[in-house]
Amino acid sequence: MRSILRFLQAPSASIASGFLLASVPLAALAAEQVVRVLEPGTVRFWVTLGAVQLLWLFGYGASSLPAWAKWRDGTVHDRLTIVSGVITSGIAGNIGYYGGYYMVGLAEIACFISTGLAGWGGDKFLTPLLGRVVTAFDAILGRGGDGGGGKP
Amino acid sequence: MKVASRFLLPLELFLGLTMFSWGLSGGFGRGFLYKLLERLGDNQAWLVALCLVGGLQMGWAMFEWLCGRNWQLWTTRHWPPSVHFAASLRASMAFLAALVWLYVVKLVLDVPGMAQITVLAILAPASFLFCCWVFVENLKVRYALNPQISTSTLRFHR
Repeated sequence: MRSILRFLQAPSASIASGFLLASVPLAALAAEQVVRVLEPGTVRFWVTLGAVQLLWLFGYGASSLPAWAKWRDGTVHDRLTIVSGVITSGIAGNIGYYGGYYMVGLAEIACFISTGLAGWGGDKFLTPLLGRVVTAFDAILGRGGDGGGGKP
Repeated sequence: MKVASRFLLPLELFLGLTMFSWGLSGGFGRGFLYKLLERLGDNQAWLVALCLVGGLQMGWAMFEWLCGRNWQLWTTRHWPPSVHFAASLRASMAFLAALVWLYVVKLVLDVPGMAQITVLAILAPASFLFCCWVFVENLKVRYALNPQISTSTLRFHR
């Protein structure tokens, strides 16, 4: 318990928890608005949901194919590092469709293309970018850390 | 593993032409597809996406088929392009085309009446699979020809 309290008193943890707490009502409001527009329960909603998941997986698979197929030389560890990008690709892909279609109001075909591209670029670009952001934050807050990385 | 991609150019030409034609068919003409898309309000987006991606794929395939026989494998110059650059571009275009065909498959499953266009219902998934094949083969060539990437599995031959 004491260690948890000590962790929460650390400057980085308090800044992060502050951001997290501030974003909760905003996220809830946005989710409520989006769900109201999406009409869950209709056939179109489920077909679209399935198609979006398929799309970002397709994009992610296309970007990590050379590593899995061993077209480039590397260690097993190099190949396994691409697994870390699945979540990033998934989030980026879903944002690509639902954000583009419901928030920005793009045409559906443009959202489809952006979902696949986000799935492809999620691991390739976002993971290294997030790694750099974490490293920069760690440097500002005076903490060590390698900041993650990207694909080999 | 021996890799090459020039033999796929006629297929890419056909895939690009097919997508371009369907793009025109949904964007103009007042046909059945046009009316279905009009109900969704997607005529313009359909026309732009399919004609742009299909036109690019068809145009580049035609250009490379006619002029690309003796291109260098790897070059730092912009012109004439290298085989490596061409394979990268063709892989990117095949990836984009696969996404567009997936969208068409989704519409066939999703929009009532779309599956009545039997040619489209058969052609869209088949074209998606062919685009995946084109993407994979061009990506292999791209990795085989890039001197900055070490590979012991891929070996390019014309």
